[in-house]
This record gives sequence, C-alpha cells and structure tokens, in this order.
Amino acid sequence: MSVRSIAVCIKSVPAEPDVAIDRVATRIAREEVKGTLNPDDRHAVELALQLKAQSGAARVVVVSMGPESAREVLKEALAMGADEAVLVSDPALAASDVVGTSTVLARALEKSGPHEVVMLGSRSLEGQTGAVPGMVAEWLDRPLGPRVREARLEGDELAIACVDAEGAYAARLALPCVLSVGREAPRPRLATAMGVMKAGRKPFLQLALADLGLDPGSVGKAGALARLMAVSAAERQRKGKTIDASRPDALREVVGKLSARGLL
Amino acid sequence: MELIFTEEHKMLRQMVREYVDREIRPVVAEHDHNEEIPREFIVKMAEQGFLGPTIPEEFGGAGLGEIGFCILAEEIGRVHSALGTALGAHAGIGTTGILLDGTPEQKAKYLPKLAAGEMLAAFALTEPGAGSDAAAIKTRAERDGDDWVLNGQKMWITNGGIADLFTVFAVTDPALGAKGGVTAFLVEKAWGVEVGAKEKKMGIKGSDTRQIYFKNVRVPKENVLGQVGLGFVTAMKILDMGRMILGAGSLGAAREALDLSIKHSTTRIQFGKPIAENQAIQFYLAEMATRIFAMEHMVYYTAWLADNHQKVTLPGSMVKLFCTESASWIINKAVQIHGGMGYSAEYPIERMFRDARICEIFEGTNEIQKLVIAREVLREHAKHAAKV
Repeated sequence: MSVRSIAVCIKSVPAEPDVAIDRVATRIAREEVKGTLNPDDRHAVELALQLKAQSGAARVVVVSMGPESAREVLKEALAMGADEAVLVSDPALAASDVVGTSTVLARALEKSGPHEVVMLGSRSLEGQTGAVPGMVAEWLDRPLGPRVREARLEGDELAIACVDAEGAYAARLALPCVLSVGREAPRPRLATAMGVMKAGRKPFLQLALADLGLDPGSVGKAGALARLMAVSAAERQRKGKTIDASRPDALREVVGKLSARGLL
Repeated sequence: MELIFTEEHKMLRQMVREYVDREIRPVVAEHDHNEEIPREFIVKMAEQGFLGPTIPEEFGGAGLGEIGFCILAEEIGRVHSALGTALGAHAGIGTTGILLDGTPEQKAKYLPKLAAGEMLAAFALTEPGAGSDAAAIKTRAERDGDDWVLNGQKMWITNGGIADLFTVFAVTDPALGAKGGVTAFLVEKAWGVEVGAKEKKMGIKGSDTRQIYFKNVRVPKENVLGQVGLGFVTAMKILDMGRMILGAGSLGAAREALDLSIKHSTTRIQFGKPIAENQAIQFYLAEMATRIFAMEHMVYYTAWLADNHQKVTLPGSMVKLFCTESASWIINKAVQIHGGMGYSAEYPIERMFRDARICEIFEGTNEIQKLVIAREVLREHAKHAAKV
C-alpha cells in the first residue's frame, strides 16, 4: 500500500504562560487568551511534511476540532506546507472529554480521508491526558505507533523509530496506521513568507456535528463520560537556596553543592 | 494599525519574529564584531522567502507587497540594522528597478535568481563627486555595436562586495545630463565589475560597503533598464520605495529601544525604587512611545498607498526624514535611560546607537528629503493656486 494522504490532528492551545482559569466553569477561560499551535502537534506537522516528501504522498491534511479560533492554527499549518485543512466546529462540542474528542476526530478523519497515515501530537499542552491518539487509533481500528520520532515508507509498511520512558525502539507498522508524535521528532520548520501568502488560498473545509452524522448528545458536555470537578492554577515553586556570601564557608558550600550534582 | 493588517500580515510578522529570535538574534553581536555578515547567512533567508518579498510568486518571490516588505524590514531592523541594510539593498533598491521598469525577459532572467539567493543585488548611483547632487554622476556608458561600454566609479555601495547584479546609473548623453542623458543598466558582476576594499564604518558594520569600478565593462543592450535616457526617473522611483523600507527598519530599531528601555527602567533600582518611577524617565518613555506611534502610522499608510499604486514620493520622503531622525532621538534617549550600561558594548543599545546614525545620511540625506518635501508641497500649492 502506498501513502497517498497523511492527516495530522492539531489543536490550538493557550499561548500565554499564565492562563486565566475559569473556576466556575471548571475550564481555562479560552476566549481571553491567544491561541498557538500545540507544541507536539507542531512536531507532528513537521514529521508529516517530511514523510510526504519521502513517500511521495499527494497531500497532508490538517484537522482540528475547536472554536473558530482554531482556524488560525490550521492556517499556520497550511503556511508551514500542509495542503488542506478541516475544521470541526460546533457549539455542542464545548467541554468534550477524551472520548468525545477522539470520536469527533475519528469521524472527521473518515470524512476527509482515506488517509493512510494519521498523526497526532502525543499530548496537548493544557489537557495533558495523552489519551486521544490511542483512542483515535481504536475508533479507526488501526495500529498505533507511540511517540514516533522518525517515520519512513519502506515497501508497503511504515518503518518507525519510537521513544518511551524505557528507551528507544524501531518497529514496522502495516498501513493504514496512527502515530503519536512528541518533541523527539524533528525540529519543526517555520512557515515561509510564500507559505503565509498561499495559506489562505488552500482548500479549507468547515464541518459541523451534523456533517459528521453525530448526535449532539453523544459529544461535548452532554456526552462526556468524565466530568471535571475542580481546576486550579499550578503553584510554581523554585527550589532555590540562598547562601549568605558573608559566611566564611560560603564558597566551599557552593562548590560542594555543584560538585554533588556533577556540575563541576 | 489593525485597520490595514490582514490575517496574512499578522501571520507573517509572527513568523518573521520567530525567525529573528531563532536565527538572527544570536549572531548580531558576532556580525558587528567581525564586521561581516557571511554571504551564506543572507542566502539562507531565501528559504523563508525574505530575499524576494515583493517579487511576484510567478517569479519565485513571496509576493508580499509593500506592507509585507515593511513588516519584514521592521522586524529585522529591530535587532540587526546591518542585515536590514543588506536586505534593503538587495530586495529593495537592488530589485525594485527590475520590478518597475524591467522587460519581461529581464524579469524572467533575474527575478527568480534574486528570490532564490542565487544572485544578490545592489544599487549603484552615488559617486565620489555625486552624493546629494546625484545628477552630477560621471560614470559613462557608450554604445559600441550591440553593447554599451561602461567606465567610471561608484561609491558607498551597500552589498558592493557580495552583489552579483548591480543596478547602475551612467551618463549616455553628457549634453542632456540628468534630464534625458542618464540611463540605468543591469550589470552582472561577472562581466568585469571590480570592487574596492570594504569601508570601515561607525555602525552597520556587518553591511558590506565598497567602491566599485567599471573599466570597459561591456553590457549587452538587452540589459538597459527602462528607456535609454530615462535612468534618472527610474532612480527616483526606486528611491521613493527604498525610503519607505528604510523608515520601516528605523521603526523596528526604535521599538526595540523602547522595549529595552522599559525593561531596564522597571528593573533598575536606584534610591530604593525602579528608575521608571521617576517622572524624568517616564517623560522619556512617553515621548518615545508617541513618536513610535506616529512612525508606525506613517510607514504603513505609505506602504498601503504604494500597494494601491499611488505615488509615494512625498510620503516616502516624509517617512525617511521623520522615522530616521526619530529613531536616532529615541535610541539616544534609550542610551541615557540605560546610563553606563547604555555606553557599554556588552549591551545591544550601544550598537543600536552607532547603527542608527547612518539612516539620517544614506538613501538621500535628510536635508535632501526636506528639499523633496518642500518641492512637492509647493508644487501642490502652485497647482491649487492655478485652479482658483
């Protein structure tokens, strides 16, 4: 099987380091912060563009589920070199959990496909569940390559190199397949000026729930199997230690601490 | 400014900023110290589309238009004026002549190479005896069969040592002078253009400035740019655009100076409080911000006029005059706010101070800009007076 189409699911995440938390709605106050392309997804777009060049695929399609603001990250991926974009946007999708999100993405991938390879960022910066890639693979009934840092078409299989907490390994996946991509993948390219100018002229498909044949009760807040009870901003603590320079053994202590950590 | 920036413009600015932070910021001090920007550093920017910002897509350029080019010049001018100068000479005044007056054959031959960085460009008008008095050029072009033969010398040529293609202005009819006797030529370096030693300068040290010499350089007649005798008109049209791009670079430098001043004055503690709490410093910041507000509007309104095919002689000169003087004023105040640190070569503000000064001199001194502005407004007045 050759690779004709590669899809990448991408997400807009808050750009600012200090996001506002809406405690009543138990969510990030998304309308107040500027969105940016989720860092892992950026690596996934890069890997997809490299695989397109290596495999001779005809297109890279970027797919996002989110509010209208997700349009911007889709445009950015188009400016990086993706060929087509699909935005799934519907008020009923707000507060979807991982099951709802993966259901919608799987349907959108079927609708815009077939895609021989589907890539997703390993995790999103603000959700951090890391569950969506596996669930999408499950809905599509395809093998999953987790935390892929290299992918090449060899014969009719995809040769991948992966990393996990234990180390690195190589594998071969039958097509079609799903890959999750993390920061180990190649450094993402920047958009080019030519890409920026062309992005607005590339095919852009916008879909609502009805277009995917999904019942509003099965997704979003209504269909969520998990419910978020409370959210709070993380307390940031620095583990700094102040050493009084006037003490006679101050220098010795600094040297000792640095040596103990193998920094000298 | 939200009024005129499209989604593409905003994306472009974001992308240029990322490129500047990733690729340019780390090497600015090194380029200044070495007094050189490596050619491959400039050529690499072609991948991003920075070497052909206004070249149409059909010729391999980015097709950004003048607003887009100003965004690029502003963001690069923010951190690396020498690179901004090299880029302005290549993609601005070195390329604009072909875009405005080039034949289809000239466009097809040169634009793709300029956009791809296979050729770098320069603009050669100034001579030892013809600075502000540009009409006094002596470089001579004489017809010989199907060629023109160039003899003479040009001075203060930005990109002189790295350019492969020069837009050269030479006298083709001494009797007519600037009014019909000057012609523009596209001259490839490979045809025998000789370059002098690199000039030692106060600032923009990475920018390659040289004298260039023509000794019986043969240029085929296909490389006459525009019409024979109308070279001076071409030169002035090119400079109208170049002055706007220069103003955009000055805007960027001024913005950076304000950002650095705010950062410094809010963290520098004297007499037990940040110096930004002193009214003396606040007044500087207020004046800096206000001038920047005016600069931004001048630059992008003028770029909008240019993108809408309107003549920018008057606003272009106003932009050049106001933005370059304002940038020098703002950076001078930034040095003052930084105190001793502003004078130390360890901090970027010292380099910015040296880099800004030339902008009041080159591409037409600011005194020449005032002549242009006065001439244009008086002409408008005369036209109006004749009607009533």
